[in-house]
Amino acid sequence: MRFSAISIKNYRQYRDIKVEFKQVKDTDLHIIVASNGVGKTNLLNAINFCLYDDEPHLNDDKDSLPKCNNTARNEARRAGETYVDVTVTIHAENGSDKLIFDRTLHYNAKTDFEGESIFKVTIMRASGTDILEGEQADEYVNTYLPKKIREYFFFDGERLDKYFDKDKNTAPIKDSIHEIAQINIITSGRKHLQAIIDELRREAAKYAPDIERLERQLQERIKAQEAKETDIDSVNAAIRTSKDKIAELTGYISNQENAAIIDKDLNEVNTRIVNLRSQEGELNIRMLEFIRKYYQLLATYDINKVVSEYIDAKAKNGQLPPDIDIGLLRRSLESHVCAVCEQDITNNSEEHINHLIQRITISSAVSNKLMEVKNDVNEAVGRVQDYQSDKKELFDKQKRLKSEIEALESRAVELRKRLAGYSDVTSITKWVNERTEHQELLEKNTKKLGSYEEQLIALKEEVNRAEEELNKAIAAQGHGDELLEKIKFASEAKDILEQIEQEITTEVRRRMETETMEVFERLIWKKNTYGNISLSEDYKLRLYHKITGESCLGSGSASERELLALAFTIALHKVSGHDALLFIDTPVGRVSDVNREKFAQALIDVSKSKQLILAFTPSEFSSEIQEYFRDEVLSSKVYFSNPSEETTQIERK
Amino acid sequence: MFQNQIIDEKLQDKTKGDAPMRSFLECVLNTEKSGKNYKNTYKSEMEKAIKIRKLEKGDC
Repeated sequence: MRFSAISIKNYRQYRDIKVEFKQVKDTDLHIIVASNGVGKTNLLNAINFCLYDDEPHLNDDKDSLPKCNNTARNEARRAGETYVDVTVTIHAENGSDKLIFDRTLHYNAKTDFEGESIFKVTIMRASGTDILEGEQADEYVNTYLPKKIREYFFFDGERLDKYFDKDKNTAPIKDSIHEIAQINIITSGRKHLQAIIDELRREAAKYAPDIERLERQLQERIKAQEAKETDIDSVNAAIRTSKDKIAELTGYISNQENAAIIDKDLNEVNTRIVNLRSQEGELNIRMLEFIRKYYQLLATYDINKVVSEYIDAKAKNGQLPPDIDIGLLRRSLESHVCAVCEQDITNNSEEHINHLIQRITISSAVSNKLMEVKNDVNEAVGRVQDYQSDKKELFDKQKRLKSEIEALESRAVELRKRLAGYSDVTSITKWVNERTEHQELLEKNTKKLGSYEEQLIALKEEVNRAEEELNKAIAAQGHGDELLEKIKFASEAKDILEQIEQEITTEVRRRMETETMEVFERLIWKKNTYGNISLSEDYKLRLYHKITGESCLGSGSASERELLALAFTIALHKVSGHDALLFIDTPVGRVSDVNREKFAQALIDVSKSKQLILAFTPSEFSSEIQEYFRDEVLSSKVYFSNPSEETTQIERK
Repeated sequence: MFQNQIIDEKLQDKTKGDAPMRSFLECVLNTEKSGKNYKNTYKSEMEKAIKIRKLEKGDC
């Protein structure tokens, strides 16, 4: 079902207004922009007034202004007229049927008495037109837009992200789903059949006291069975609570466990900084040694080099002779006897000694001295050759250490900042203790559940035996056959309904999970975060992380939760067959700036398969939002204003 | 018959070959849906269904 227009006359701020919602694009997307107090929320109230005769979006309905428009009331008073008709008309389409929902209230302008409203539904089919009034009209609305689940058609965007709060009572969701899936009809039929069976048994008991006793026995056993079932429900609820609490606390603790990891990292980083600083200290000592060493070598390098080259040159041209004493040679010549071997010197030897004496220009003492320093000088010159490589090694190491220390210090700053965001140790201890308590409770309740379930099986067997005994007794007395037939038939019928009820309940829940996840996956911008959805028996929704498999609904942003609520609603429409429009008041009120574009895109996607009417305040409908909701994707856009502060009108821009 | 077609399908499945039971349960569900008083309707419909069953079995 989609709305094609809403006409409002003399209702609150609306004197006479008609808003049309024609689908002229692929998207069935319509936007209303109205300031607070202009009538945006009262448009939602007008829809509710028309369809359900109430206004759930008033702040305080006991203290609210009359439904009748003030100007219309004053004009009627001035003209001497008694009544003003307050009318809201919704034009809608349901498949090929054209519908008009019309509610009129005859407002007494003189006494301000509102009186009863008159509601009519006009259905225009190809085969003809039907007009429904009173209960029939209400029933028609309830068939397509059931009152109990109207919050799944007409939303207050401000409340969307609260749909899955862990403390939220989900009973209305379960009830609504059971109602729209018509499981409630089966449940009610089953209960009424049981009432019939009980009545038939009581009737049989009138004929024989034994039957009465057996009937009492059966009822007692049924009561015991029901009490055990209630116990099982309570234990299951406690188990679910413990599981939820454990998941929640594990979330907190794992954050703190991260803190411990960060703290460990920080300690490691600090240790490495200390080690590197120590290496840096050692390097500084080596640097000083290097400076000392090369300061001397470099300072004496030039002179050492000259001496070394001088010695080398002398040696090369033979001026640095082997170890010959010139004085000894001269004495040998004078005495003609060799001073070393004491033999006579021949003429040839004399000539050779003279030649040696002429060649040697340095005294032996000098020669010896030069030979003595030669190694030291050469070594000093040689050691300077290592200067560049030694210098490079030391400076490279210094640079490397400095860079490593800088990187580690930045990491330490970052880790300290992250660590500063965590709670104190007392809270962590409290959470760990609380989690341990719930883990123990869960273990205890799981054991208890097993034992209760065994007891329930035994109780069911007792009920069956008691039923058999009772049926035999009924059959044994005079009026028994007919009654027994009825009891058996009704029991058979009740069992069939019970089976259908259980099967559909499970199927609907599974379908809701699948459909919600399918829509959510299509709309969500984080494609690799969320894995699957589960709905517990009481329709508590859990969203699991794709990789860790942990429950993560609470850690999502408000816009992600709002999107999940939207996905859940769309799934609900599909599963229930109530595939109607969605009207959302302040759709992005809770959506953070960074996610607005994505959320807007999700809404545009939804409007491709469903009528979507969005009511914004001008500040909410910012230039940024307008970039997403461009005219090309909108089927209609209207601005409401109330220049006179009493009557709202449409401004077309 | 119902908004939720699954109910119809399940009902057909569970009462296969037992038309009186099926029509009785359809009556139960319609009565519940309309919110009408169930007691007299169920009793009379049950009697009818039992009678039809007997006729079908040739018991009377």
